[in-house]
Amino acid sequence: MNNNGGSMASNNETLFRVEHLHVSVENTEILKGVDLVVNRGEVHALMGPNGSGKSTLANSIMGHPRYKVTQGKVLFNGNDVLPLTPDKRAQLGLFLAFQYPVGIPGVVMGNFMRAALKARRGEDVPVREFRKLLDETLDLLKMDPSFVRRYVNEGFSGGEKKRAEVLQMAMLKPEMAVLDETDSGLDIDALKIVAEGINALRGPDLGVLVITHYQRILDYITPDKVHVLFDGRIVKSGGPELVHELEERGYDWITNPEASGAGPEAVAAGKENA
Amino acid sequence: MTGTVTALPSLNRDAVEALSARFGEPEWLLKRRLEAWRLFEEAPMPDPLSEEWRRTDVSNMSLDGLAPFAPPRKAIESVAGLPAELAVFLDENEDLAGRIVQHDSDVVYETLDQDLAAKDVIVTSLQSAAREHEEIVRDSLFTAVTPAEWKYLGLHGALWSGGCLVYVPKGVEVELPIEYVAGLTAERTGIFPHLLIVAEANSSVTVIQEEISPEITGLVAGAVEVIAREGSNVRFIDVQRLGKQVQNFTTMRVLLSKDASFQGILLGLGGELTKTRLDVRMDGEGSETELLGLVFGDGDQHFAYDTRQDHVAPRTESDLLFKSVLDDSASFIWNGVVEVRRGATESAANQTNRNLLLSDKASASPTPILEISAYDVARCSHGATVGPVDDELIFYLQSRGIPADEAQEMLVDGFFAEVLERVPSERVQDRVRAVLDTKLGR
Repeated sequence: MNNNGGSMASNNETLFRVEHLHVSVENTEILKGVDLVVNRGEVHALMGPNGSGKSTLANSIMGHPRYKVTQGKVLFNGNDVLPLTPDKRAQLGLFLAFQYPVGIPGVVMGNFMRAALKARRGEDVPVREFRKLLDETLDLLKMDPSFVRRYVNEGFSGGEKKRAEVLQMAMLKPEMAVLDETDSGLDIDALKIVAEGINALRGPDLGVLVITHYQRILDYITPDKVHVLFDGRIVKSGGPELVHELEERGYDWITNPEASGAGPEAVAAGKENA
Repeated sequence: MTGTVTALPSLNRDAVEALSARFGEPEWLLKRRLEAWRLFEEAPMPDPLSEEWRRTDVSNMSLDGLAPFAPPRKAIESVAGLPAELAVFLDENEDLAGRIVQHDSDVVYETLDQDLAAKDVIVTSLQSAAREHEEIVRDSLFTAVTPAEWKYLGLHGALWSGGCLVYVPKGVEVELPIEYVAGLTAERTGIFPHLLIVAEANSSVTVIQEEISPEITGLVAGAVEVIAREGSNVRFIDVQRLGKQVQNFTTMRVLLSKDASFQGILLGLGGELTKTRLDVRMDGEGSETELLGLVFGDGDQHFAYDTRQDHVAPRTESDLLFKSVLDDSASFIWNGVVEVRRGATESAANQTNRNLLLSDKASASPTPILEISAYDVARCSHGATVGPVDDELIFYLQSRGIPADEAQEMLVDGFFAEVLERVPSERVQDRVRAVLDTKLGR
């Protein structure tokens, strides 16, 4: 598998489409019409400053009850998943790697993973097969086997939590994965391991949306497309070169073009993509 | 009392004499019963305004029309010989060191491992022990719990029957658990099970008490006395799986000598109204106590626990962890006192109560109380929480494909796991898990 996760050929089959999505939290509109298309095999990066609505988009895609969708659609393999409960969405092959995975006291990682895998596959997984898959995945992510006996995310370090998210992704084999700031709170070694894990999962059938505040993780995972979310809208989209532009120029030239001296065309281009 | 054969006996002084005569008891025992009856008659019903009772609805605590004992039950050859409504709770092939089964007012089954019998371990009905091991019973019965404490204990003192004595001689270690079953099948009848555990110096024993009944109305007013002498180690598990119209009042008191240790695990699952008192008095220096509680209530079940970790001697340690899961309009009360007396220097105590509410109508009110008189206490801490299932946890599990109801079950299991993993015996753990699974309808 391509080690640097370089651009994987997209087969141009639309896997995932967000259409004009409006989302409110406690009567405040956070997403104000988001449009996004991820084809099978593509990795997209969604960047944006804090408070732009990145996590709201991630949670809305998965169906968190606190986020109220007031308009729009989330189409996965052509079907609107918004009427579905989160578990149904996951069973279809949607996956969210959480920015802040919650600790679940008393629930052992191994048992949890088995229940999740059973739900995803719609049938019980034989113990031997489960163990093998688990061991391989632990190995991939350089995780200690004792990990599976621990309570889910309880007392995990930041790095362990993020690795555990990728472990779950690797085991559940989603078709579309949203990674919500999976890079935050990781030191460079942990970041490399997590990125390698994600790269290993890239392939012609998987769509990935990497949500991040920094370009750092994108040094290791090369996206096919990059979007900038600001104030609840995607204001700019482009190729991987956009990452470096953001790295050099920050967000201001997009989010506040007058102050930063960027021309109005930049904004217009952003609007077109929105 | 001479009454006709068919009429239910009434709750009166004659019933006490009739009961004593039925078991051919020695005179001293009848005397004690009658004294307890007097205390019962003198004692008022609980004051609904008192701290101990104000959160419990005492209005339906009535003894009217209650039979003081059931007709005699015949001895059985094995647990399978019990009526199906009791047998369903028990495993005939359970690996036990000894078993005493009480059906209504009579002990109908007794068994004890031969090797242990040869080591002078006694596991027998308290009723027969009163004759055959008179000295032990006379010296120890009602020394930890007394009929003067409150009205229902007076009644218990007058009307206890069947019962179980576990006596472990000095230095003897009993590996497998001993089980005492108290099963009620007689309608509108009170039974008064009594478990007396005497662990001599440096002995060790595990005793499981099962309180069971089908869905009938009735009263189980029991007492548990544990006398743990120097360096002994007693583990006690109470599994309360009574029918949901049975009222259950049990007082448990543990007396610990020097370096003795006690682990108590209370499992509250059944009953309409359950009021349990569990006190541990650490009289001996260096004695230790661990109290664990698991309560799962639904419907309109009410559970009230009063606990006391009483540190009398220096360098004593106690730790309490009670957890309840409450569904529908079930309610849970916990009044937990840690008392560190003046002489109990360098002692340490902790109490933790966590409650998980699965419904808006369910409630839990924990009251941890510290009463510290010693000047130098090593550590004293307490904490209590009440709250619903965390939506974020449900969402997390759901996001992995696990349906909400299954997610909630996992969280309930996880919630109890923290208590279960502190149970050192895997056998006991498995058993508790199985009981919980049954209650959870699995």
